[in-house]
Amino acid sequence: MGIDLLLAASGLAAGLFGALLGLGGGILIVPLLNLAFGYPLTTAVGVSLICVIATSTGAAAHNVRTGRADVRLGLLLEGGTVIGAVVGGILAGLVSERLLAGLFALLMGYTAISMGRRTLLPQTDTGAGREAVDPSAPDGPTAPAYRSHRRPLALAGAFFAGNVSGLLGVGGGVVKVPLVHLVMGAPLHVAVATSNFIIGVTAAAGAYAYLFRGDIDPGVAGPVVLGVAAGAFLGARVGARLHARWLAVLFLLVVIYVGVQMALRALGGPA
Amino acid sequence: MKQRPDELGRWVSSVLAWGTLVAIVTVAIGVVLGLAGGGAGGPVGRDGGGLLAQIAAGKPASIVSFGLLLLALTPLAQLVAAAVAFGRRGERRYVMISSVVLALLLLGIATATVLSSGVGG
Repeated sequence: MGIDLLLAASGLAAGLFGALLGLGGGILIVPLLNLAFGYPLTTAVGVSLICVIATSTGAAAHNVRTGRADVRLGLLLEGGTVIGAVVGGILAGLVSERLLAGLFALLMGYTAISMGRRTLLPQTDTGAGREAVDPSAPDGPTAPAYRSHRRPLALAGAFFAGNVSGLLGVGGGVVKVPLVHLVMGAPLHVAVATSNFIIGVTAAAGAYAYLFRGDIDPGVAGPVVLGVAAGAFLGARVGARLHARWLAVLFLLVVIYVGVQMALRALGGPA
Repeated sequence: MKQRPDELGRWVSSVLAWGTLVAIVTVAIGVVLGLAGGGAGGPVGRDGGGLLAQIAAGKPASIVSFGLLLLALTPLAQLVAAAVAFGRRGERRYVMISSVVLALLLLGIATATVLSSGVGG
């Protein structure tokens, strides 16, 4: 019972942190299960993907209903992310733990740089997508008024984002949000909501390989999923009342610490 | 400007919300039963029939696994809902895109099943 409560508490913390910082939580769940609990990386990644589905679908239900997520743009990119995630999920069963740890360390480095810029530097609005209006967009709140562009490049980026997700057990929002905002020109709030909408499908595509391979232990996944769902629910409600800057700085330090641990494991751990 | 009720948003968000809720409640039932009876870990039937028999027998690990499977299938149901809603709106292009993504996802499941039966037996 003790380990179940610890797993649920870890999930709660990851879900809460994720919701407060606009992340799926996978970037915390994988190192928590691997470094703190000692589960193999493939188990940690599989459980994380299931948790990412839970947080993404819960939030996407709200974002789609309120028209924040661009369903059409999301569906288009899902084509690329699904193929990438399936390939990533299969590859994860074939590559060594050391290589996986090294790739995860690289992802942590990228996340630290991208979050550090967002947290520590003054924010600048690129204004992407603000003025372009899509004349073919039908009426209704699910059709935002802007024109998305550079679709082939975005599809290639979506494949990469899906691959990262399936291989490393993260939602891949750190790749998808810049892709939709900077490459395709959607406004930032649409990019965040649309990325979240895509993440559920991407994570599911990656998760099937882990589920059918038997890498997802229900005794581990059950308590963690419940904790993550509760944390995400709580985070969405208390988030507005908290000053997120210090949380982001704390998260940045955690990401750097975990990145270093993963890098050490990649360099010195067993192959 | 004409303003029609946004069926697409309602359908997709309902499938996502209900799918997540039912899956989480199922996982919670399995975890609670596991806590009462010594844990939700252990071997789980890999084929549909074996899993259903274990669920009927009230095995916590199987109930949790079924909940996880429901969670993983929710995005798939969302794609079906989107395809139907786009069809009712007459947006053939997006019916096709939803169907292609759905087919890719089903192909992913088929590939995962074939590979896992080859590896795990």
